[in-house]
Amino acid sequence: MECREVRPLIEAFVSEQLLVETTQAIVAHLERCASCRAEVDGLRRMRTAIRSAVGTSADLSPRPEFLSMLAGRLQTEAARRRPARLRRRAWMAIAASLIVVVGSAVALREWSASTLEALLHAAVGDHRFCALTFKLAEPPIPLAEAAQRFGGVHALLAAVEPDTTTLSGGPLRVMERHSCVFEGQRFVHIVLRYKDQPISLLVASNQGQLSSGLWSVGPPADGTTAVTVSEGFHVASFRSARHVVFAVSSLNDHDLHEVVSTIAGPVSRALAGA
Amino acid sequence: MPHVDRLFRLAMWWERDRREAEDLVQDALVQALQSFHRFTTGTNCRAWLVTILQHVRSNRRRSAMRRLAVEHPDDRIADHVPFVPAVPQQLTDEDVLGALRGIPELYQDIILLCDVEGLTYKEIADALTIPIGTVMSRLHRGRALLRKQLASSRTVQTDDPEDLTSSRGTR
Repeated sequence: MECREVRPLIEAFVSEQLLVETTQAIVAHLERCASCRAEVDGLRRMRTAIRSAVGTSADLSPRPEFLSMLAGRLQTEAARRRPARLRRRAWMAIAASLIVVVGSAVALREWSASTLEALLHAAVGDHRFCALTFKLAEPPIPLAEAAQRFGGVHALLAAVEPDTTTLSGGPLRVMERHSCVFEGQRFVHIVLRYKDQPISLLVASNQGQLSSGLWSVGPPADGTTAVTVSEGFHVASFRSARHVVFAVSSLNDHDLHEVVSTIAGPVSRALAGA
Repeated sequence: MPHVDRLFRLAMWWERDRREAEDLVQDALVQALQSFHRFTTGTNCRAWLVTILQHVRSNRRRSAMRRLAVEHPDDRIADHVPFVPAVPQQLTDEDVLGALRGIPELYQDIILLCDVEGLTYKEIADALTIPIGTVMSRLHRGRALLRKQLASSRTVQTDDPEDLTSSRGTR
């Protein structure tokens, strides 16, 4: 591409609105054109500055009292409506995502099992739509950007590596790391590969809402992880004080346990700093 | 939690009054809860919530304000590209927020939804009920005005007729 073709597309390029092929063509042009590169750098600098200034402004942040009141109002509103008119899973997804911010201000123990079910569903959905089919409605973002926008847990997991990358069935590789959203639930998403199968390691905030016991199918290999089958995938899970981690894959139980056993320690140590 | 915090941030930017912003967010989320059966699984939930927030905001403004024959002359793409200064290397939060407030509201909205909230052009078009082409032209014009604001943020505003802020100001 030449400058006259690239310049009209620079705005959309910086806004990440272009098709992959066009983006790649522009990237190739920028590697050899200092002028266009300077324009892109300037726009990106301004965009980053806007995001930072607006995103971190205390004047634009909600009061904790408002969030508590809002949580109560939404619970009242939801309880007032006849359950048959709401899809239970849909209500749990939006209510869980809206209530999480309040934390311990609202008594949520009776939600533990339902919240966990919603998280599990979201984790499986994220694996399916992000890792397998690349069809998430909202594009994933780099962990560095997510750390700036949403908090430090994203930065803590940016460099975590398995204890060993050579397992009984061959190499275990970390393919990608990013932050992504499925049905309103944001995850830190680490995609691994073992025996030619992708494994999604999905980390979500626990916010102290989940009970200490997780569901299990069969005895956990190490006493701290549980494995279940959900929507056709094998799912292993473990938790830290403030986060729950799902490993979703088509691997069988044994292989999934092997993968989780080598990544659970590093992830847990990283999350301990959250 | 991203949804409520980010919805509030938008509402607070628009309303500039904490109570009004809280009311706006609360009304929008109650509406969202009531109409969640219309949400399509797998699509961008946050963009859907932003759309509802914008509609609640529009309805409030329509009922509170007189109808004005408002024309947005800058919706058409400029026939020529005016000189746009380079983005300064050092940008403080104060510079950026002041410059953003200094451009017309219709450009502020586009920049917030695109650059801060990360919505796609289609999602912005749906939220604001405008064509995608209008989204693109407003974003282009808004960013150009913002760059001019940033470049002149430490100088006295000129009487440049191309500079809309001298005639329109902010909300």
